[in-house]
Amino acid sequence: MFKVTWELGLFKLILTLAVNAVWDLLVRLPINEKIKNSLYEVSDSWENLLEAKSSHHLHRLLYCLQIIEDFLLNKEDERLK
Amino acid sequence: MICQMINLFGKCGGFEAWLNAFTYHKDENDPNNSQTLPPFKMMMIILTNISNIHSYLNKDLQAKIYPQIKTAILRRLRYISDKEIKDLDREVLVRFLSKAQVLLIQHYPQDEIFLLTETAELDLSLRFLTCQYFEKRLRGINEIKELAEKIEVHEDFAKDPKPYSSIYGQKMTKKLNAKMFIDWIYKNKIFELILGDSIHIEIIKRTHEIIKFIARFEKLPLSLLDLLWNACSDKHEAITIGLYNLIVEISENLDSQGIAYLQQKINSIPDEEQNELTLNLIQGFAIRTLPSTPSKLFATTEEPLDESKFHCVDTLWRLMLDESKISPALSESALEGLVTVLKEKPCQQLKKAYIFKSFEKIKKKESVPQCIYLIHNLLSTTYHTHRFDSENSLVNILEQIDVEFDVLDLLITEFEHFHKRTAEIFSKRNSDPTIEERTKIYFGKYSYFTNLHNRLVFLQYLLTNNAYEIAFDINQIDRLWTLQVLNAIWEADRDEFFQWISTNRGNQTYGESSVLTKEVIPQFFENILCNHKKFDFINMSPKAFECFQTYFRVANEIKDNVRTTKGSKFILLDLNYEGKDSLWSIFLNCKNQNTINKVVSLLVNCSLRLGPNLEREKRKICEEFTFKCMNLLKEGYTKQNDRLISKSVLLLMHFFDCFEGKNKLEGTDNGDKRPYNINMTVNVVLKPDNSSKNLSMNSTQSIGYLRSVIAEQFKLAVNEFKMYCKGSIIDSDEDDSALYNFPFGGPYVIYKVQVPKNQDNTFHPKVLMTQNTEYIDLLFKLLSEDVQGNLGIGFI
Repeated sequence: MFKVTWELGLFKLILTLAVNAVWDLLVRLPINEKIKNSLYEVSDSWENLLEAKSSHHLHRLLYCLQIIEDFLLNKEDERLK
Repeated sequence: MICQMINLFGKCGGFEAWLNAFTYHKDENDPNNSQTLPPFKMMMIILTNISNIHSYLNKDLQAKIYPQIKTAILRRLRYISDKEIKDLDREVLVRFLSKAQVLLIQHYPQDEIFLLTETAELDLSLRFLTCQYFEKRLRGINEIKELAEKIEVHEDFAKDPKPYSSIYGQKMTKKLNAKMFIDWIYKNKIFELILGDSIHIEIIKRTHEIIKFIARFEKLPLSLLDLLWNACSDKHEAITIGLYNLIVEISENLDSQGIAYLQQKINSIPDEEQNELTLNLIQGFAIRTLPSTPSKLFATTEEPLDESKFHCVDTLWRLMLDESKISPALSESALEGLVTVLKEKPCQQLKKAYIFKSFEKIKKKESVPQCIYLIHNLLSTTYHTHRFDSENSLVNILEQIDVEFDVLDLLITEFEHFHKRTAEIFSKRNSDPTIEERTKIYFGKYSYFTNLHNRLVFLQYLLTNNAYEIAFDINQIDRLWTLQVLNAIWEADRDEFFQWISTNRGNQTYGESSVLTKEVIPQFFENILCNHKKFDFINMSPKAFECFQTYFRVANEIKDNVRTTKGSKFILLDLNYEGKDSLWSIFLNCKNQNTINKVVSLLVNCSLRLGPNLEREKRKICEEFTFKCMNLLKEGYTKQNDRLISKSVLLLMHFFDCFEGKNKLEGTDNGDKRPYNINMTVNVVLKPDNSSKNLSMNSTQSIGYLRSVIAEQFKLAVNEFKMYCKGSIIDSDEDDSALYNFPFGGPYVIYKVQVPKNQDNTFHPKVLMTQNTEYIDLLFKLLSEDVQGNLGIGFI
């Protein structure tokens, strides 16, 4: 169920220009240190850290997953350029 | 021995036989008599024989045979049948006449024989002219023309015998003079013949010189003018053109009576019968009958103008006016004709009179576009800024016009009247005007579009002329603005006006060729362009914003708030620049996406293109700008205004791009015509590694864009390298310039550099944003919340 809703949400997300623009802006920024640190330090349960339960925080989940991906692939430096 | 033989020849009846053969003919009343006349070649042989033995003939015999020979020659020339003339070689006839002349001169006085042969030549020409074969007729008229030329030399020689007269021998008649020739022309009704049923254009063309010849020696009779005029009616176009050309050409040889007569004929053409040909006739006649130019070059006092000395100029004037009954196209031809005539040197005073006359018409709001065209054309082509003589001085004429008519006020008042007339048309109907109607609705002879165009072009000419200052005051601009912007009938009018008022500005800096003067620009910018009641910020088109932008720069340049460097680079010198609030207001209110892009660009430039005096404040400016954008985003979130959110994001993104030296606008935005629009490969070499890449670019793309492509390809930040071409550094100042301003293809050499400390992470607006958790939360909120249903994601 989550997967389906997530995919549909993403589909609509892509279709919505304004959302795209805000998302583009967000991902263009360097990673927010506070969020990054909380993920690096695993300061809370993953459920809470990713806020996966909240459908209203889908983008936060996506953002966090990207931070993890950057960490794993060591892409952070590139984002800073 | 020879005498004996000749005597024997005579005794044997040889001379009688000769004469019988030479003079053989039937009765003149016999219709077939021409068939029985001896052939020219045979007669020539006999003439040669007699010439050879002439000196051996006694006087009695000479007295007996020469008159018969003479009569036979004249008779032979008189009767040449059509069939015979068809095959007759002109050279044979010339030789025949020459032989006859040589022989007869032995017996008759020279003058008599010269006259006889020259008249015979004329008669022969007539015979050719009356022949049914066109080729022969053409030969006939050519011979008459050639004879006329020879007679002209003869007459000149008679007046002033030149010491080298021998060189004229072949080119002039011996005895035939102008009077005889002209009498012969009239007596034989040559013109009636030419202009009669068998009229032909080629023959008409060859008649010009004959009539001009007559006109040189005698006054042309009115009957000839009548004949010419009547011949023009109901003829094929080519014939009519030929005849009109003939009339035009001879009109300069007419006396005052002839000119008046022809003028009366021309003026009698009803408007309904006017066409391009008649208009050409009128124009040609007007030019050919102009009075001679005054000899004085530097006239200081003007003699009173006598318009009666100019013929048919007023006819062209009448025809080009709205009230004439001719078509708009013909009216335009009449106007062009009038302009051409008035440009002639003898029309010096007359053209001035017509300029004033045209202004009088404008004052009465009649035939305005054509009067404007006439004035504009004459002023711009026949008056000059630097002239010694006051007659052609542009300063003088403009001053006189301005004093007499208060020219700008007159034109604006008339413009208002024209606008009112147009508006009234549409107020009476329910539907809106369509764009096609701009060129289909006519006012007088011209469409709305031409009416508008002529007015604007003329105003621009007056406002930008370098000779005499004619300048708008703010009230006058306001009046025009009200017409063309606030109450514009067509949207296109509005955009054209914006373009009009922004043109001729050189490199977008204040210049002498500006429509508005330096004195009035600040008022115009503040009172009109920055006034949302005068300027619709909400529906602002890109052209409207370009107008705003142009005057934004100029008004701020005047107040030293901005500076435009070479290459049109814009540099801000004062943060409290003119129009700042209006610029933000346009950004917030405008609905047109293309306009918004332009506004965004200008707003970002005003924050990043800082002069040296503001460099130290760069960080603060960036912070304030970021803060302002985030506040707008917040406002958009609070008020659920997705448009405001989109705009704010766009502004921030462009701000980041420009801060990073990336020019996402691939092309240059200076409005040039891009003459070198070609695709090219740019070679880039990274030093000291010497790794190189070829990049595909277009010559119209900007250096800034190239810089961003290089950064991407070499995996560098745009501020991590310096770029050189042909040994010269390409600074970020040049980022807006098109690639075609630089050597095509490069190579561009880049050197890695240390990132300057003031561009470290803490300074970058992106870092400023990301460090602020409140801003990040706001972005997540914007992504998550349903803002006017546009941003919402909607889950199942």
